[in-house]
Amino acid sequence: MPKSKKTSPSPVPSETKNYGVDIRMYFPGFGDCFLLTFHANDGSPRHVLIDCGVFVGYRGGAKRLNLIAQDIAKVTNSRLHIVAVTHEHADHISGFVDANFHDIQIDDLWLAWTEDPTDTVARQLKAGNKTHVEELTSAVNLMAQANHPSAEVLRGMLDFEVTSSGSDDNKSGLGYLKGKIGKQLRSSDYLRPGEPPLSIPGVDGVKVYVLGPPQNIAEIHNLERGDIYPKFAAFLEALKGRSAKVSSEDALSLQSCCPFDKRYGLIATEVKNDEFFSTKYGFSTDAAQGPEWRRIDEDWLDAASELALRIGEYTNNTSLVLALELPGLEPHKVLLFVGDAQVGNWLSWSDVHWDIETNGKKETITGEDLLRCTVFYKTGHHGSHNATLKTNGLELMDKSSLVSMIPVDEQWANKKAAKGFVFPAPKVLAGIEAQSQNRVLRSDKINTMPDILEKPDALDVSVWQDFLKHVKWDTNPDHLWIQYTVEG
Amino acid sequence: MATSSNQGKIAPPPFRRLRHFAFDPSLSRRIETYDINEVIANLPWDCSLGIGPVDDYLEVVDYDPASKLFYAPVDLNERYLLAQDGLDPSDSNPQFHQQMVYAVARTTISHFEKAIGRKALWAPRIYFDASGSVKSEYVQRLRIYPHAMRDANAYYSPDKKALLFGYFAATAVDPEDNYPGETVFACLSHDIIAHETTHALLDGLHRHFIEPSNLDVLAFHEAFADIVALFQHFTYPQVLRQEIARTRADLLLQNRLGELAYQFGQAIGNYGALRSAIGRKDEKTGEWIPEKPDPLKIRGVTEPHDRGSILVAAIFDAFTTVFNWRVASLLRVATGGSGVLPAGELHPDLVDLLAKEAAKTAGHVLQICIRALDYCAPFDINFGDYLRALITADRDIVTDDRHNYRLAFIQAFRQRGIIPGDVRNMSEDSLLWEPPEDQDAEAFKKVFTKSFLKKLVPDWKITSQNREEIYKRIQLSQAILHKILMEEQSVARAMKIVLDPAAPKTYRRHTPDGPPVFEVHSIRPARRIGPDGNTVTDLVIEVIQTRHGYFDTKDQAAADKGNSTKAPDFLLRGGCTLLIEPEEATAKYCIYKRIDSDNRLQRMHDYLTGGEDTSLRATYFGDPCQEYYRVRINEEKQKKKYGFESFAFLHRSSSSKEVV
Repeated sequence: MPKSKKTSPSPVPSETKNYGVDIRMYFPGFGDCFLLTFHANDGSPRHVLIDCGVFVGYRGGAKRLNLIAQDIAKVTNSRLHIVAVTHEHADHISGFVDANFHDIQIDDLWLAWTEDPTDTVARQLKAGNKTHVEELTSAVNLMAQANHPSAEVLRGMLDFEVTSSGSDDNKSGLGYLKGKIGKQLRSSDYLRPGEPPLSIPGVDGVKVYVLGPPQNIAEIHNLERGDIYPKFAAFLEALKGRSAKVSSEDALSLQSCCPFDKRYGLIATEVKNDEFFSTKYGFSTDAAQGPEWRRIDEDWLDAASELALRIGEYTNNTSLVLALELPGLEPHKVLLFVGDAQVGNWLSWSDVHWDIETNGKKETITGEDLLRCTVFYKTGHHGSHNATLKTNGLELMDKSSLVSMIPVDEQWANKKAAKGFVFPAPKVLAGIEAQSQNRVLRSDKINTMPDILEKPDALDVSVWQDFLKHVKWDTNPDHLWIQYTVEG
Repeated sequence: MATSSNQGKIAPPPFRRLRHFAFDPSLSRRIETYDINEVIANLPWDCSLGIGPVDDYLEVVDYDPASKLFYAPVDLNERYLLAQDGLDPSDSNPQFHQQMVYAVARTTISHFEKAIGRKALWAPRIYFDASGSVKSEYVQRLRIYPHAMRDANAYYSPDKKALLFGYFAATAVDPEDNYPGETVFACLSHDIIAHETTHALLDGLHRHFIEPSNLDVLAFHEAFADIVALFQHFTYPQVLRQEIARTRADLLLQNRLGELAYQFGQAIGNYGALRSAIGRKDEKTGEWIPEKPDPLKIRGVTEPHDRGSILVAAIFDAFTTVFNWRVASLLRVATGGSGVLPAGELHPDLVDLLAKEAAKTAGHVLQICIRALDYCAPFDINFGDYLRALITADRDIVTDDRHNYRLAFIQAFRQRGIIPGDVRNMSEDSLLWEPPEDQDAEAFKKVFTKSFLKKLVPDWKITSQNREEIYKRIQLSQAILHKILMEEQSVARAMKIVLDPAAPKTYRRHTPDGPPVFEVHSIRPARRIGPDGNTVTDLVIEVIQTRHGYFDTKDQAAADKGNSTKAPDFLLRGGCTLLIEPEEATAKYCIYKRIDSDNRLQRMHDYLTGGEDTSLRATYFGDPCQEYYRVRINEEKQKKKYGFESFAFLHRSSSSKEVV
């Protein structure tokens, strides 16, 4: 990749005051909810909310989201200028329900192109994904019945997916938000990487660059429109065959997906008394029957884990990635919100660039430039293995001033399924701590603030003091938020 | 029944001939490869072969659980089938699928047995009985399920002692070979069958080679399975003939073979160890470009398949080097002394001779690679050790290296940066395993007398054909040797077994204050026949000890002192492979890895905790290496088995990464 020149400072319009931005990370449980407060020229606040959700079934999550919504209403005087939703996973959108947002005005909604119902690719991928989630759910039910060791893990993974409350439904999630903003989103309102930077109404100079999701997302995932995972077609057909709801007509068509002509296949009742199959394979625990430990009745269901991973990874990669640049600063300051973007999304940023004209001067800004100026990083996907690109991502960020927030609940994650989900991944966490010189704020440490804010040995006292000056947290018993201010 | 003929008694035939696809069905659909895609396997005639097929080693059970259908077992003794070398290759007849998996798997077993000089045994079934004690049970047959799942996968299940093959709908990636939606069967790919069978054979020989104790272990399993599949393929001259016939003056012969190997890799897709390390196709011109060996590459490659492909490439380089040397004179004769091939078609006789020579060389390389397994420590394999094993094993059986096989291996490994950590230089003499030190040799001499060896192995001719008898005999010999080693501690010491009761409490033992326990893991006589008809007989003895390892150094320190009840995070193995020459009753090599090496414990700790798995799979399913130990340790604690399919995991973890 050609190394682009560092962008030169844009002259500051004299009337602009540099207010900076407050970043408030809420702790709904395992989920994301960020409130950003900018200031207009006259000093009046402008509020941007990025995501609001908690993992389905997180104990007390809904109640906390309600408290958070109350706090948002209080801070914003019940008016959000912009709501940005990164992607359609429950832990990012489940809070968007009327009970929480009824009294809050929302002026504008920022969504990625992958949510655009008029975009053919987006629509087909979304529909395909939704179908597969439903099919997978039935696979997991079968696996659970058979005590399959992966069933619990898969159920946990599927709980991230939004099945019932999609965009067609206007009671929650995206559907609710679309209905609430009181205007129809046009295709051009959906955000695509590389389009001219967005601005925040009334706030001069702040540029919001869209880095992802990549336009070639289908290519990245080897997806085919319509039938997005053709390799799993035969597997999913088999699952349909198992569900009781199959009509006789469907049953006929299911036969066509069997690998051989029907004259070859024998059903269990036909071979139960057959010497070969009863002594080799076996149909009961009787000693004369084939040994149970060698049977493979449920092993085929394991293909579901591969499909579940691909679906989860795909939806994460539809994440809207925003780089918010504060005006008139040298060096530049960029806040990076990546949603749950996985590596595929990150890798695409190096191909994105903008030709910007500021006061008659042209310059080209690349995705890499934005990473180099990043002083705040909202850690992707709760710190998982595959969601923070190291060499061409994290390690490009501005080490001297980088601060990172991680919305996560490690204790909860470690109790998911038999052995826990790994959030955050130790190596990723270590990488972020190193790059930010330990200036890391985790939502799940909110109860133990300020104990966690102990100065790391290696860090200069003045740097640490300066960092602490910009951090505050909710000291009320509900411990709803931690806040960090990036100075303008 | 009386017959009118005066036909005398007919002896059983030496072989059973069975047809199968040389590659997979897709090649039969291309005009240019149509005629080379059928080969005939010559399998040892086995009277016991029954429907299934089921023989002494294998049982094909064709149940398709996703479709809930059983497919009737093929009867290869049906006289019409006997008369035409089995069923016609066909992807639409499940009985042919059964025939093909059987034929290819059985061929792999034959190659294996020839190289190791004894009967192949499958890994025993380890289970917990009702009282919770560990039992091991002889497994006579490896089971093969040709249609086990609807998934682009195939794997060996160490718990079920079974090969599971999948099938799936083809994508539109290469419409030339498959039309979209068409069913692709893993059990019809020669390479996939050979690859999976090799996993099972390797597990039978070295059960601990699936324990991820260093970066090379899983890579080795994949690479070795691929090496066997690749070179088994190359032993069919008709497969090579066409590719060699395409050779022209401007193209090097070895590149043709490299391209063929690459094509095999492509047919497997991202499933086997990638053969990209051998070379690649130029995307624009379609020309095949051999990859220049890069000795530094291995330092940065950690994913098992990618790392394994470096080993495959090194072995393949050695193969082409030897092949070039072997055919140099032939080419000079054929070209009037110039050695430069003319433009135009090659003479068919020359093509034939070259193909036979390549097949023969491939057969030798295959034997060398398999034979080396007896010269490895029974756990914690790494590529460097494997090179030393290759060189030592070959030197034992072929004293003069007149075809320069060893030289070729050493050169190829060096060029790929595979250098054993513990040798001074990469010469043959330095790479050979050292004989035991004098003091140890004395100790071995004292115990392993001719009469004691006779007691351990009553049947040196290895005449018994009954594998269960062999298995039971080995068990008995193991018990005898265990007792002797407990009595003669100088020998135990020479085998690097630690019996000191004061050893750290993390060493496995029966009672908290007793001495650490050890296991005589294997005693196997090997009778190998060299290319000159010479026989080399060895007794291979393996002993293993286990120490508990912890990720947290504080836990380790506490547990070493016996102050911890925490379950360990991993298992460190120590012990050796001892090779004894029975005629002279001398210990030739003791290939050991010390249980009491704190460096080894630290290295393993660092490997497991510094894991490089960055896939999303690791987030939800855990790091596969750590997970392996977690499951095993849990099983021991709860005294019951619960499934963990290491190989299903291994094959999948790479596919989920294609996104990255």
